[in-house]
Amino acid sequence: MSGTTLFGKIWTAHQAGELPGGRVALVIDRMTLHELSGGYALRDLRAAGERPHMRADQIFAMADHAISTAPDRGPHDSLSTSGSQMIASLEESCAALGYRYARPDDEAHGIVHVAGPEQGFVLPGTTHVCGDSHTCTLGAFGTLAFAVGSSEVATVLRRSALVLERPKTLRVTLTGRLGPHVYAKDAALRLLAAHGVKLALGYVVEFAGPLVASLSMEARMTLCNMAAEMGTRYALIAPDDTTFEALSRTMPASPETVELAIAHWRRLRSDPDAVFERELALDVSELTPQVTWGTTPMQAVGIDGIVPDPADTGDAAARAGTDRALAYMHLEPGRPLTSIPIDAAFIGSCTNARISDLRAAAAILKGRKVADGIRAMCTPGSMAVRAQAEAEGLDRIFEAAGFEWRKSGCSNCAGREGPIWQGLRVISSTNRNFENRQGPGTRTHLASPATVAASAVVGRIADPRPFAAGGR
Amino acid sequence: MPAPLVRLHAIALPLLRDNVDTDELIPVAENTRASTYGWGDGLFAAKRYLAGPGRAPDPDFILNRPPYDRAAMLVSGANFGCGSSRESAVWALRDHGFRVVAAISFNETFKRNCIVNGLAPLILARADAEDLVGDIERDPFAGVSVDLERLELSHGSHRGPADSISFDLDPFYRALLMTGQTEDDMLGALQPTIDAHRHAMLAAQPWLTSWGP
Repeated sequence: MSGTTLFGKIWTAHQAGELPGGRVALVIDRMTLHELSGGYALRDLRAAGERPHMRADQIFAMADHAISTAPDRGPHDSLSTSGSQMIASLEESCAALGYRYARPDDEAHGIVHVAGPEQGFVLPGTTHVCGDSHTCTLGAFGTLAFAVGSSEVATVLRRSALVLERPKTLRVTLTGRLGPHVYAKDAALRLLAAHGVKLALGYVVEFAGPLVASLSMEARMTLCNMAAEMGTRYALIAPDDTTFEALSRTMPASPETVELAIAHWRRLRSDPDAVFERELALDVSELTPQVTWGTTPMQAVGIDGIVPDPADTGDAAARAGTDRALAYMHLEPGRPLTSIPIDAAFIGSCTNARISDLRAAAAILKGRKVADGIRAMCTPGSMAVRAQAEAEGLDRIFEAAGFEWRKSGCSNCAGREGPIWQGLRVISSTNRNFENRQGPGTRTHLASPATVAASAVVGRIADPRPFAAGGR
Repeated sequence: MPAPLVRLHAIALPLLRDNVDTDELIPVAENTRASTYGWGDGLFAAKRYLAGPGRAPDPDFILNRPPYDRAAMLVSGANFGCGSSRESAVWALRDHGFRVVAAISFNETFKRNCIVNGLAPLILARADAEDLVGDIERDPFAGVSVDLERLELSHGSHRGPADSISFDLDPFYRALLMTGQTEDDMLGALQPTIDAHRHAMLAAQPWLTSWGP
């Protein structure tokens, strides 16, 4: 009999009953709520006169999607009236039910997947849901965290459990060392380019290997975050000393309880003889900064690359996809990526707006200015990140370079600041380059924060590595 | 509780490409309605209306062209419903009148959102999806028949049972769709077991009961 995977250990521990077809009733330990999916669920539940079954200490709420990130925002400010109503409704529901709600100017406020871990709400070995596709970000802590819809948010509130089908297991082993100004984001984009957006469809993906062990918690979160683009809702990384060190700052329990917890969490790893249904590997030693040229995250190439020719992109469906992407992006095959001028630059989102991301970008922006005519914006992932950045003087570097310095929220990852980039070409530290994602006709190139900063300075898509060497 | 779905004959909307995402199904600008109903007008909004005020339909967009404006079934490619987990993408399809989405593969959260709202996510082989779309485009008015009991669908112009296409649908989901039963109800029946399990875990793992500075 072979060993058990990390996923198998968490799954089995939470299995409260079996249902037909190999499905189980899985106990859910924690839930983050935001004003869109969470708001609907709370409103429907309360309208029906139901009292949630989840305990208040299992829930953490904040408004991140519709909230304005303007520096002078009020507690319910949103671009739309309905957005303001949703924020007010979430706050009111949380007050009525006794849920912890991070008000927009609290340090605890942020994008749910950024602020949740910062506030100690995310623990290894737990199950955690949120009505948001990037909930898999929290898998970086060895948390089985996954996206649900609004109806499933309501079911979890009502039952503290969900019916789930067991996913297949995929291990992605990462080896080698990342070069200067090459990041977890680049590794994720490379995996997508090599294996496509269906890479992990139907699977739970465990990221493992010596590279993962060497990554910071923030880099691990970036990697797990991008798993959503690989087609899965479940990403996991085994907790280790890096994880426990990060948690030690936020664990509220007594030292004895923390010791017990860590002893428990050390067992949360795939056994050496565990068998995965699928295995993949990537050596990052030769990896270069990656940038997308198309309208899915798998349409990425190295910074020295060219826009591909549809004729070279596989079967008929892939060629049709490439044709469509090139038409939307206004690009022609064979064009060097670094020849593409940009109109705007964005650093933000649950993928890449943590303090290490802001530091990487600021290192490039320091003493420099964004190129003429470029609208550049930085939206820290949380108010705590914002405060830390200000304590380090990063805000002054961003502002001196010509970046707007915003408050926390999902912001223009999904066009939440309004159609300010209509028809523009944007280089973005976010996770999705879909048509119209960042605004009507907005053409999005995904990249790491360092590549975004370098591109903002040059005015074209640019390689951050010469900046590292003191060039330009 | 969704209305049970066993058989359906409907106009089908062909959208045969991969990676149709939920931002396309319901754009961000549409995604702040107060209620979980009334989303039909927002479906494909970025493509469906001409620029400018008043939401004039773009006659070139397929959903605006008869008979596709009456479609209750959609046929698409791989990884359908990828991207944001917003359930409003399914609400928009449902409120526009769709009951069936047939695709080569689905995003998992999207598929589950379909089930809770009574939409059938049917999985087709790529060749079958291409054949079906060919038939629809030749004669869209003939419609497509879907039978969840027989796990078969066929274009209205088909010549006999041999021309029907089989699809895949998880037996568990199929039972939910055919009866209108919900997972939520099943969990309700299991609630004592769930609670016993939760309490045992909380007793064994005291760090679970509090958090935060």
